[in-house]
Amino acid sequence: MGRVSVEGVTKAYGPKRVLQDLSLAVEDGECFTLLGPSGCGKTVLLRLVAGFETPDAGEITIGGRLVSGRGTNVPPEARNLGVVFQDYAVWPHLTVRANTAYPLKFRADDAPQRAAAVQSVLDQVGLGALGERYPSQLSGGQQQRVALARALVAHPEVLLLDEPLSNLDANLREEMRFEIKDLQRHHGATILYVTHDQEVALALSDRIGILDQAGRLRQVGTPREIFDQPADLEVFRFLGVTSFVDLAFDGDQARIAGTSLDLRPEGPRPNIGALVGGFRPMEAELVKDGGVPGIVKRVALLGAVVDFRVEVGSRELRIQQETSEVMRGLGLPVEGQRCGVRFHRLRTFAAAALSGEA
Amino acid sequence: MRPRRFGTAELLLLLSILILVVVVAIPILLIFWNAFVVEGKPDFLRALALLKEPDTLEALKNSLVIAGGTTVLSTIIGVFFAWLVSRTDLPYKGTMKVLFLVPFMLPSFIGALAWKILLSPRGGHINRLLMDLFHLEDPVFNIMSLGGIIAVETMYLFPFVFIQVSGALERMDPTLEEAARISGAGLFTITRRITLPLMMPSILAGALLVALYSLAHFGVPAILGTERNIFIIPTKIYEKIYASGGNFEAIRTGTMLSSILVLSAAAILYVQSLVLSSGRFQVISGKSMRPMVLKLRGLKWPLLILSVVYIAITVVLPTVTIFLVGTLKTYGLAFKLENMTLDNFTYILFKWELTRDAIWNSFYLSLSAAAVTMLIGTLISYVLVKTKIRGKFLLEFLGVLPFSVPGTVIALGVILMWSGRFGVNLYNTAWIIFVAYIARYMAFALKSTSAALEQVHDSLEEAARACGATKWQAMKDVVLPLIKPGMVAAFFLIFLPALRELTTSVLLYGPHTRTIGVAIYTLNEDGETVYAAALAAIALVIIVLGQLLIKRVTRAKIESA
Repeated sequence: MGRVSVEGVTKAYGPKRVLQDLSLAVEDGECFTLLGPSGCGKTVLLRLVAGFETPDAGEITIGGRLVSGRGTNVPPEARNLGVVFQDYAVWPHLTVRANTAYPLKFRADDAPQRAAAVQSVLDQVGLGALGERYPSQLSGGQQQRVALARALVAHPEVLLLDEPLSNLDANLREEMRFEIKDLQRHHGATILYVTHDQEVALALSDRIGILDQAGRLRQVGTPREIFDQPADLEVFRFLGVTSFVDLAFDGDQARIAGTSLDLRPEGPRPNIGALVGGFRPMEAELVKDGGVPGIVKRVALLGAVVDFRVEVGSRELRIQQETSEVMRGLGLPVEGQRCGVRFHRLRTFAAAALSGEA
Repeated sequence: MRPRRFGTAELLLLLSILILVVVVAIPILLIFWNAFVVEGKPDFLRALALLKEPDTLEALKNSLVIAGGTTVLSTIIGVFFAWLVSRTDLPYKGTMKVLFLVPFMLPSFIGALAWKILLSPRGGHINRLLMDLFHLEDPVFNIMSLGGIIAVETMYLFPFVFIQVSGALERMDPTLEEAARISGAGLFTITRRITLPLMMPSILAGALLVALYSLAHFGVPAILGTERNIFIIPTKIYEKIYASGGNFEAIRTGTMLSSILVLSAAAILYVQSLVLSSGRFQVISGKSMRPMVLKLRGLKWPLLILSVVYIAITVVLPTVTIFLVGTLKTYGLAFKLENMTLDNFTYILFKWELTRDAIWNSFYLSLSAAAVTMLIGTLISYVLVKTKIRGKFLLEFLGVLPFSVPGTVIALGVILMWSGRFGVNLYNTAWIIFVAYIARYMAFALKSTSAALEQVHDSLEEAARACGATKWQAMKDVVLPLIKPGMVAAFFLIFLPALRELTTSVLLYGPHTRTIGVAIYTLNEDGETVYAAALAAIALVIIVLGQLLIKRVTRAKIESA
């Protein structure tokens, strides 16, 4: 069983605290993504689970077995893991086949069994015909597949992936995303995936954990929960482009400061200090009549969508609309034109949190 | 924090520190101790008084003049030829570039031997020829002078500057010069205001290497100067240790002079690291670009002829001389076929015990020293580059020491350490040369293996661990195969110079432990010029074969990668 649990783990390098009393659990067979900005300590957590580093405090168990903490420290080779590194870490002096076969060297399988296992996993990652090549003769994407094959060949309980797609170009990244998902279904391994790329995280994961810059876990949930019901402003801002308007409340009704249009924002309403309403670019639209008055500052036709920058009050908002819809409706506005903005959805946050970030 | 246990990493660190302390640090400490401590008390005044002896003062002055002169001359010649082969349309540039590196291969003391045969004031062949031709009373050249020593050292040291500068000139971003040209600057202005300042760090780095080498060099001044009472620091140390039969004052003078050598070497290396880290290299990119080329027009062929003549005089002439003299039946006979014989070579190679032993000694000493130093160097580099443990700074400090210790100093240091002072007496055995070689060539091993290790990213080793390999298995399967080229390079970087080495072994040899270098040197001292030349010729053949071997090995490596 491949449940990974991390409890109360703390890690510091010299005076720099990287992780502070962090706890999380990855269920058996689950694909769990740790999402956070660079430098937030997510790679450190992965290295702690792998056994490349030892925690200063706290415990780590894999499949119910204590591997770190309480005076125990199981070395990486005894943790039954597969690891895929950001820089692939494919050995340049070995062929694709020899790279892939390496983990089996430490198992009791006989030679034909081994060869079959290697060929099967190479076929799965689409490198079946390239077994005798050296890594220098492969593209970046192919090298990444070798790293994946090597991590999977021994059927580890847990697969650790450290930003494995960030060195690939956009098309390859998309392709590999689906492939990793397929491979996981096939192998049934527990995956702990570490990345700063929210798109990958949302597409791939069963659950996501959001780490902030200080190494604290902000929210854990399914991609849908995280995206739809962000726990706080930081989580909300981390998942894509966001804009904010200043809100003034009158009972349940709210309006954007300086305008008369009533709104019904969602979310908790802390009764201390000013509040802002946040939305994503597709959660608002430009309208001919009514809406909150604003001025179009920038128009960029991106193809299927049009990207607007609109000034409302003292803030600049990002709004995106489908091109065909814009053409049917008010037509492509010119920069400087007055317009109305209608919001489909607004989430309330304390304004203090926002200005604290900016 | 849990208390750290004493693990493998700590053990390796301790072992590395121990080796460097025994091999390098204690010998150097003993030198300073002997120089400045009298009867258990520090005494700088008496130490300084020793330096004021006229002959010591003279040696210091000569060292300064020779090192200075050689550096300036090598820099001028090195920069000029580097510019010629990388920035002009000189015909046969590629071939010339290779030819300018050939002097590197020739041991300079063999060159000095050849020049002594050709240009010594009375007996030199060229001098005699000129005197006969023009009915002169006095010889035209005197190679056995300060100027002569500077000239000969320059011939064999200028490639240090040449390599640095031609490399930098080729890697320099040509757009920097083109930008100046578009701004309306003429070629002379561009060279003076743009190119030269950008090349300054490379020029300085090369010049400092020449200074470092020349300051510590024994062979050329020993062969050309000692006979005429021209001493420099290393030859003075040799004279003090040998001529005075090892009395205490003589050894103290030797250690004083050695201390000066160590301190100047450290100063030179410090300046060099300042120059290299000043960041002015950033305009030079790693990739090769097409540099701006000056059209020589009418000067094309004259400059080619000048280059060819330079190579002919500095490389071909001395080499041919060595081979020819090596075949003479008796020194002084004319170079005629009836005076020549190949018997000298068979005698030296197979019959004469002294030379036979010397060749054998050099072979097994350099082979074993190269193998052992390479392995120790790999161990130390591994700890330095790959581990993160407390106390590493100590190793980092000790690791710099081997770079700043000249060959003469090492020799004196191991004499002080291994002559029974600590219960082990290796004096007059091959072992004392062996430990000296390890200390002397440790820097080469550290440089080459740490460079190789730095290129092996940590994740490669960690990937093996994650696959189920233990630390040692990961090392054997991943790290070692990947740094093998660096280790092979380290081996040859030590083996070849050790094979022709003179500076260190000349202070350490015993009746049965002559090296090739020592045998050539002592044969020449004893007036056996013909045998010295014949042995030198054999040494040259071995060196050329060795260089060809390296080329093949390293090329095979590149192709398989």
